[in-house]
Amino acid sequence: MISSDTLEKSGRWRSVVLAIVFLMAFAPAFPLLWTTFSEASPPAQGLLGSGFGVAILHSLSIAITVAALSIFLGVPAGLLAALYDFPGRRALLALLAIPLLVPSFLWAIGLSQLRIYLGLPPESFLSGWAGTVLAFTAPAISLVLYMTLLSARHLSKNQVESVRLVDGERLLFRYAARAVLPAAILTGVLAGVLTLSDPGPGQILGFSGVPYEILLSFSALYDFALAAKQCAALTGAVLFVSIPFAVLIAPNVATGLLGRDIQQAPLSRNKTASWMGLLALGCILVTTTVLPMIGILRPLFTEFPAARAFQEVSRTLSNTFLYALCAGVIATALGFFLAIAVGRESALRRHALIGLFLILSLPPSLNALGIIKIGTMIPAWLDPFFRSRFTVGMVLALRFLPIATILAMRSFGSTSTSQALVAAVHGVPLSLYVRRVLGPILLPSAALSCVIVALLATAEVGTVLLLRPPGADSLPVQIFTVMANAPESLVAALCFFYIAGAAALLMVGWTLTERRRIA
Amino acid sequence: MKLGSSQVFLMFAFSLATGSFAVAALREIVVYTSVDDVFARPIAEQFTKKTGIPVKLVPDTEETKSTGLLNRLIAEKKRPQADVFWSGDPVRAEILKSKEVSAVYRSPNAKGLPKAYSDPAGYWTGFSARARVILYNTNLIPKEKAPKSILDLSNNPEFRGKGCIANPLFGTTSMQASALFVVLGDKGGRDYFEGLTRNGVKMVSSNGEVRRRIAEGDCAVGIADSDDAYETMKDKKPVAVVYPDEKGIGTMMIPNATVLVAGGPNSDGGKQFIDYLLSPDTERALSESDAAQIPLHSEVKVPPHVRTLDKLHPMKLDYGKLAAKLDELSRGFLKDWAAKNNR
Repeated sequence: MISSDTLEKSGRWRSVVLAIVFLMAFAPAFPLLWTTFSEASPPAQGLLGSGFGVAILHSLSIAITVAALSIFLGVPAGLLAALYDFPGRRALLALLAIPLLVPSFLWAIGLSQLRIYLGLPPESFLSGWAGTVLAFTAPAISLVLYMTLLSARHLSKNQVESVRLVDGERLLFRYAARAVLPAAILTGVLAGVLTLSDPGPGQILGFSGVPYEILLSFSALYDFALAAKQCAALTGAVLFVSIPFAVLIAPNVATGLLGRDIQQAPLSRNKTASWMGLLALGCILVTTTVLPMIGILRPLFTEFPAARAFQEVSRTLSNTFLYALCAGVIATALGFFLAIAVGRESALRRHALIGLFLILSLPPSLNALGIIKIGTMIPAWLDPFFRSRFTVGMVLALRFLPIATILAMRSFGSTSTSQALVAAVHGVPLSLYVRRVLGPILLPSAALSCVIVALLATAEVGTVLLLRPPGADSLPVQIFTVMANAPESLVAALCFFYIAGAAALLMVGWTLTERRRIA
Repeated sequence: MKLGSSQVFLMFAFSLATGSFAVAALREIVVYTSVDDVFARPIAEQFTKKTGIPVKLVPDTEETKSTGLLNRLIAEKKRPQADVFWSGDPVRAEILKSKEVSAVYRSPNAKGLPKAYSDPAGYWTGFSARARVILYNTNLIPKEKAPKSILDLSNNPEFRGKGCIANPLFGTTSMQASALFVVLGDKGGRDYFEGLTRNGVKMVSSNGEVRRRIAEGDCAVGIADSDDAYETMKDKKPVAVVYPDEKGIGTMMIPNATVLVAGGPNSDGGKQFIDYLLSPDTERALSESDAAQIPLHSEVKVPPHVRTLDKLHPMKLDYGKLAAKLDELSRGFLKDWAAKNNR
C-alpha cells in the first residue's frame, strides 16, 4: 500500500515523472533536430549573417511587450472579476474567452480589414509592430485574466473577509494581487513565449521576426535543416530569457495552506469596484475582441450565406470537437502529473518552468513534421497512435502542456500539506486519498484547464493542417483553407458560426457551473 | 488474459475515434491538393459520383503560406499516405520531382494538352490554367489609364505609391518572380524589383490581401491570380482586370499540375483520378466554377467571362527551370528584397 504522504515527501519518482513527461513533450521535435545536427555542416551555417539575430530581437520585443501588457491589464481586471459582482460579469467573462479560440491569423486579418475600413494609413497603430502586438495581446490578456481569476477564487472566505474587515477594499486588492501575481506573471510570460513561434499576425500585419524566418525556411526554401537550426537558436534565446523568471518565480507560484477553508469568498457588491470591474472588462472586450471581430464579420452585413456555411460546419464539427477534447484531457492529465511530481520543491519547479518555456517556444510545425517522420518509420499497425485523429489531439496537448501545468501547479500548490500527512497517520492509502480528498479539490481547476487547453488547441491551425488524417478537417482548418479564394461573406459566415457556437457553449457551461456551485 | 467488456468497449471507441479501421481505406483515393478547397472539392465529389470511388481530400493553399502540404509530402516520402498531389502550380510539382516524391505517369487523357505545360519526363502533367493579371480599382484608376504591363508598376511614375504585390517568396508571386528572372535575365529581374521599391509598391502578405486592399481602395493597382480577380469582381467590388503584356513578354500562365505520388497506397486509384482531372470535362467544370480557369484542351467551351488560350499571349517559359531559379532567388535576392520591403 502506498501511503498518502508520498505526495508530500521527496523521492526519486518525482524526477522520473518529470523526465518522462518532458521526454514525451520534446520527442516529436527530435527527428528533425537529430537529422540536422548529425549532418556534416557546422550548426551555425545559414544562421550567421542572415539577419536572423535581428529577427530574434524583433520577436523578443513583441514577446516582452505582449507579456507586459497582458500582466498589466489582465491582473487588475481578473482581480476585479474575482472579488466583485457587477452586472454582466458572467457574460463578459465568457465573451473574453473568444480570443483564445480564434486562430491568431484571423484576428490579424480582422485588424487589417478594420484599418482599411477606418481609412487609416498602413503605418497606423493597427499594422506593423503595434498591430502585431495588439493581435497577440488579445488571447494573452484573456489567459492572464483567467489565471488571475482562478488564483484569486482560491483565496478563502476567511482570508478575504478578515483583510476586508481590517484594512478595507484597497488593501484587499493589494494583498490579493500579491497572492496571484507569480502565477499571473508566469502565464503572461508563457503567452509572450507563445508569440515566438506564430508567424501569422506578423506576416499579415507587416512585421517580420523569427517565426517569419522559420516559415521562410520551411515554406519557401523547403530547407528542414535550416529551419531546425533556427528553432534551436530560438530555443537558446528563450532559455536565456526564461531562466531568471523561472528562478525568481518558481518558489512563489503557489502558496501551500496550513488548513483548507473550502468556502470561497462571496463576490462583493462594492459600488466603485463594481463599476471599475465593468469598465475594465468592457474596455478589454471592446479593444481585443469586438474591434477585430467587426473587421472579420463586416461582409455579413451585405450577404449571409448561412446554408453553405452550415454545410461546412456540420462536416467539420465532430473533428473539431474531438481534437479539442483530446488535447484538453491529455494536457490536463499530464499537467497534473507534472505538477504533483514537482510538488512543493523549488528546484524541481524551476526545472519544470524552464522546460515549459522551451516547449512553447518550439514552432508547431517542427513537432508536426517530426511526428510525420516518425509515422513513416513505424509499422502500419501503430498508425492509430501516430497517424490518426488521436495523434492530432496528442500533439496539440503536448503543445499546450505548459498552460495546463501552470494551472495545475497553482492548484496543487494551494492544497494543504497537513491533510495528506493526517491521512497518512490514519493509514489512508494514496488511491483513497486522491479519490476522496485531493481529486475533488483539484477538479474545478482540472475542468478549467481542460476548457482553456481545448480552446487554445482549437485555434492552433498549423498542427492540424499537417497532421490531420485525410478527410478529417477541423473548422478552423477549413476556414484557413477556404479564406484565400472563397467569397468574403462565406469566410465571414464560417467565422461567425465558429465564434458564436463556441461562445454559446462557453456561456452554457459557465451558467451550469455557477448554478451547480450555488446549489 | 481475458478482456472485460469495458476494455473491449474502450478499444472499440479508440479505433472509432482515431478513424483507424482499415476496412474503409480499401479503395479510397487520398488526394492532397494546394488548390483552394472551394474549387477542388466539387471536382472530387463529381469523380466519386461517376466512379463510386471515395476521395479523401486534404486541402491546403500555398496562398495562405502554411508550412503546408508540400512539406508533409516530403516528410512522408518513405511511407506516403497520399496517392495524388493536385498542385495549383507547376513549381511545387517540380520541387516534388527534385525531392523524388513523385512517380512518372503519362495519362492517356493528356493527349490534346499543350506539351509546354507539362513535364517532358512525365513526373507532372499540367491542365486548366490561371493567369497572373493586373487588378485595379476602377474608382481610383480610369479604364483608359490602367496599366498594360506588369512593368508599369515598376517604372511608370503614374502608379507611384499606388501599387501592391504579394510577398514574392511565396505562392504564385514567387513563381512569377522566378519567371521574370528567367525571361528578363538576372539584371532585368533585379531592375524590375528595385523599380518596384522606387515606385513605392507595397509588399503585402498574400494575393488574397492584394485583392482585399484593391477592392477596398487601400491600393489602386496590383498583381494577382485570375481566380482572385474573378472572385473580387463577383463580390461586386469596383475592380477590373488587365491581362498584361499582350504585346511584350506575355501573360504568365499558371497551369494546375497533377502528380502521382511514388509508393502511394492506392496508385491505380490515383492514376484513375489523374485521368479524370486531365479530362475535358474537368477543365470545363473548372472554367465554369468561380475559379474561372482557362482550359488547355482547345475544344472545351468556356463561359463568356473566361478567356481561352488562343485569345491570350502566354509568356514563353520552361516551367521545369523555375523551381531551381526560385530556390536560388529565395536564398538571395528575393529574401533581401522582401526583408527590405516588409513594413
